[in-house]
Amino acid sequence: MQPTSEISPLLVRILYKCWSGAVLNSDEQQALNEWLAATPQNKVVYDEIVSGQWPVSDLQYYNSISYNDNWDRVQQKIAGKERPVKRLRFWWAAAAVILMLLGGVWFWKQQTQLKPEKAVQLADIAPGTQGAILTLGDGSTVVLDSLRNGEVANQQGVKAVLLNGKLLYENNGSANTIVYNSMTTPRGRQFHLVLPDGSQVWLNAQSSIRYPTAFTGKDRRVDISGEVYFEVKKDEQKPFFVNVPGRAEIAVLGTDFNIKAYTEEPYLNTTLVNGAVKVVAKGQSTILRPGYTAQIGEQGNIKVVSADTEQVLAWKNGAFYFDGATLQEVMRELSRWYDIEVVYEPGVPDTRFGGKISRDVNLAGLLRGLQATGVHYRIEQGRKLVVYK
Amino acid sequence: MANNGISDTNQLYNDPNIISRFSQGDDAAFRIIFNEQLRPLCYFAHKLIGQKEEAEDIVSTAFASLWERRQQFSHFNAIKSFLYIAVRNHCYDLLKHRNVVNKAEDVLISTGTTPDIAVDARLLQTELLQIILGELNNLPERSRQILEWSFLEEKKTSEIAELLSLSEAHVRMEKSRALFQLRKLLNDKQLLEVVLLLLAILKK
Repeated sequence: MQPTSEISPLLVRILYKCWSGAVLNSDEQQALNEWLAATPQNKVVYDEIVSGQWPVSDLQYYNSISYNDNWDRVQQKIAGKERPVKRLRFWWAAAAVILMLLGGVWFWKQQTQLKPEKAVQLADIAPGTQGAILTLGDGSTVVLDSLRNGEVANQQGVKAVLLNGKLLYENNGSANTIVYNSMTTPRGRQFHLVLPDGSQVWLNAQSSIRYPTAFTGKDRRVDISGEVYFEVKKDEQKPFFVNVPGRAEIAVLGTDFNIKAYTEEPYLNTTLVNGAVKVVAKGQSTILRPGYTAQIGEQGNIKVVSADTEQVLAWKNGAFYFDGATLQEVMRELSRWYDIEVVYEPGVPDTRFGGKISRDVNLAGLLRGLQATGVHYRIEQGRKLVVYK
Repeated sequence: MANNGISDTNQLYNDPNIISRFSQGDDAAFRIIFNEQLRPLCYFAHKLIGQKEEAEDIVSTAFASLWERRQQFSHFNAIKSFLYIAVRNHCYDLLKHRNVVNKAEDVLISTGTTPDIAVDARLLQTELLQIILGELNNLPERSRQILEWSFLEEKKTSEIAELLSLSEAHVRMEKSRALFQLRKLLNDKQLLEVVLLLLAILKK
């Protein structure tokens, strides 16, 4: 600790006297003068105290500090610190889920052989795959599901090239008109894209990004929807801005972060993995630290919470990773990846799920892993999943 | 020692066993200490870093590490020092981080203010607020009620007048008299206690 000034035992008394308008004696006045001269910040605080507005000016904030919310927060942190034990238990649970999953697939295969009529009920749905739709500057579209490596488009000297499942841009330096491209993933597809500046972008299912084929301006700006993970290439001369139209803007330099902005989810979540970002929504803003999520509510209010980045990025690494997720949260994820409609029959209990499961399995197999008391699943025609009691 | 005048935190001083119960892992004792210290600590952190969410996050981290080390504490002042020092250190870390961010991104993010590092001044201010709120309890009942309504609940003079069936002028007069009394009440003994604790914290 580096005290900015030597604190006099008299100071509380002196400040109290100043606040109450009492007259200081000469010793007190001298001590106060010395304290005020020690650092400009002391003067700032002094001015605040004697302003006539204090402490009334701070009481609204003071009284808004919630005992219960913060108590919950403390309990969460205490629980989080006992992680080693919890982790172990959790991995046992995850292993159990995967075992159940394998068991389920095996069981299902046995059943299909023995009782073919049952297999009809279990019409299965394949998992999502890599793929996207690229919309070029002239409005034409290219489906990137089944293309081989090679040139996809050439727009005013900028080539879009598909290489091992990701799209990247090659600029021969002649780009002078700004052309905007959009990459869109439908439900059941995700895609990896390298922007013209070298920044890497992963699109989860049902997401999009709009960007110029060359960043020629003083900053780099893209628009997104859905869920997108960024690894932004550092360029101090050209700050990078991600716009979620009408909802938020995220300002970055060189940094890795995930934005989850599905309109059907209650929050727009920006989770920072590395570096620094500034999240702005409806006049509010916050600077995020790595390992934290900024949650933007419907009213544009921002709440910062600590995040498990492994969990947030599980989708990009090919897994579903639930840790206390509600049935509805799980189903929203599944509906985007398996491109299904989820229907709830009445009476399904509120259940929470934990575990890590590969996104590469068929829906029926995955559902066998998602076992919970009082929750059953049925796959029906037309990509419909019925959840019943 | 002052309490915050809102919740009944006198339990802490009336029950000498609170600290030993706390250090033996009694959750209820922890909650009493938490209720006593939460708002002042958040206020202190908020004054240093200027962000409500971050302030509450830092304070809850400090309480979590206090709980982890609960067996080490046998005196309330040691607990209070620990909490303030933990919060102060976290605020420093955050401000340092913010400085780095601002340096790297000064094109991008201009907060327009230099980090406020007046830790001792903010600590004094926090204590002063505690004293003032605590002194409310020493006022005659109606004066205290009027001040609490107008300051803590931000009721308008007209609302208070209606609640007490008094004229607005009367309420205004009682309010200023109560404030005057409040300012006179503070005695030297309390101040000395506060100052000794502050010195203990700031020297660490």
